[in-house]
Amino acid sequence: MTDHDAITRLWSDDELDEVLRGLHAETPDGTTALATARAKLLAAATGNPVRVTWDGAAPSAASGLSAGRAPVGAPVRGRRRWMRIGLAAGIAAVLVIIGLLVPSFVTEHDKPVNSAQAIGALNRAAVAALGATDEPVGPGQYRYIETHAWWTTFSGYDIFQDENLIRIWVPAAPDDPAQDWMLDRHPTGNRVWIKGSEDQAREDGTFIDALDTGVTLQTEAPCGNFYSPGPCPRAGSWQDPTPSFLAELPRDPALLYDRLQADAPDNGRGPAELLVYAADALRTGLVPADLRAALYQALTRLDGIDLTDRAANLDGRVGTAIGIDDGRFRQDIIIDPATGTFIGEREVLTDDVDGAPEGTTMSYTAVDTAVVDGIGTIPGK
Amino acid sequence: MHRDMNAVGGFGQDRGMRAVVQPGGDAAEPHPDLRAGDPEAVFAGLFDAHAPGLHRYLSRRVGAIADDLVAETFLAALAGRDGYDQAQADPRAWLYGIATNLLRRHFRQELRRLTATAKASARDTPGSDPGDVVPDRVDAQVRIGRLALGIAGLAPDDRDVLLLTAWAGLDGTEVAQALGIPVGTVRSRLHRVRRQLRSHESTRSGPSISSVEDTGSGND
Repeated sequence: MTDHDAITRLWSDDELDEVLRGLHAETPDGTTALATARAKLLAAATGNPVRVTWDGAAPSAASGLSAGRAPVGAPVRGRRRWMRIGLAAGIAAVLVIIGLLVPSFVTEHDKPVNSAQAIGALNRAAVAALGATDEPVGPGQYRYIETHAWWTTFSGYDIFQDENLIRIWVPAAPDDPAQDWMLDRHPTGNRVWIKGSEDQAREDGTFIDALDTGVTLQTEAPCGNFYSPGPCPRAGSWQDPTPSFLAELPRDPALLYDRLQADAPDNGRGPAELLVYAADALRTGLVPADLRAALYQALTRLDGIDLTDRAANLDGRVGTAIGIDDGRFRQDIIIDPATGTFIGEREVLTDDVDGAPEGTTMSYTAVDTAVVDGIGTIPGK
Repeated sequence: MHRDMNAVGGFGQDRGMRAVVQPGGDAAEPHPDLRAGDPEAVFAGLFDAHAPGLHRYLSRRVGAIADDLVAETFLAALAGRDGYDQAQADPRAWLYGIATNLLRRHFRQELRRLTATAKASARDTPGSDPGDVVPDRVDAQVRIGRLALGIAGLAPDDRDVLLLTAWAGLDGTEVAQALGIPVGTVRSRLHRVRRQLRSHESTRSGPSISSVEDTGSGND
């Protein structure tokens, strides 16, 4: 999943680390438990059979040891079972432990080619965007940005997606500390089950009611500082594309590509991460037409960029999907090549992951913008 | 039974599909040979070196079950020591890999702990409505609660990568060995999961943390 709301300034890495350190940090004194465990281990090591309690329906020691075939995450419905660890189990375990130990590696693919269709679609969209002008926001008017976002939650072995509706009103002078932005967001209650069902989840005792489905918030703040006070104006980033950040980005596609490459982290996802960064900015609905054009053209330079779907449907709006696969996830942006409009972005599994099959759309956001006459006004209503 | 559980669960299959024998191996540096010598002495040394850290790690994830899990991990390691290849894996990574698989049976307990933490943090923050963001008062307590919910909603594989790194202190190579996945996958997965959690803090919260204790407990 990519960042859910690029308007928001993110928790920093340091802050995340700090909270991670604090979570469940107090652990009980393990002296007694460790002494018991040590005694059991040494008794077993000297050849004295030991009776060990296994939770769940473990058919043998082996099933708990295999990285590849262990029923990890599988429901535990069986009775408590006693088993004897001895030579026989040891031999059985050996066979599967090998699976755990053998390191896997990724086959070196040939350098991916940039698909001609993808480049063509991006170039057409760029030309269209260059010819387009964003509807101007006059004094007293607001740019209205409506985002429908679907995000995936794992709950044990059940997987579902919830829809969040996010509406933002941006004043004519977005950087003016005297002009409020407005945010109105909430989960819509629409939920799709990727794996399992609500009845199944309740029966299995997973905690679907406790899991996070989204923020409900209605608030106004200058510069879109909805979640915490901050400077106004502020510098911005690809995830938080403020007017000053957007104004400063180069309009030359080659320079913009260099900038994207410099800003996106080297995190093992390769060029897919560059597309993620571009999508971060685009899905805010704040990127002006001339910059959209440059960005589409910059993306033609990404190794492995491909036209992944000619008729990608996001919330009923159909466009061309352009994506890059990192081997596990494919990041797509959905555009209309005829108009240069950015429709949305999505993340699609290209491998089976934790029970979700290949091809599953793990998250998507569909974005639409309009100009309205008042804060809180919804077009067509 | 094994087949039944996979049919219902199906987690972790991607790991198995990716396990490929590496020809020749990659003997970076020598690790102790767990197969040679007196198993009592070898495993006593292994236990003393790694059990306290493993116990802390497992306690943070599943609470009191850690007591049993530590014992199970070492007994399983002893039983499977012939499968340990000193050229391929660090013994610590190997142990945490075994523990990770054993942990998966207790995911309900882990989710229950995480949601209970979130519930407690909401209760201990006066005036906070769990359905709302508290823009100016995002204190440590609230953050811990939100992080707990964020971690609860992660894909199990992602949760393992994150917590083996953040709590067990394994580096990328060790996590890769423990989970049987490429180092590059560890890096990209860790990046994605951190990104997801960072956005949780600011954009997603509002757990309707109800009836955590009332839901079924299974056998964990």
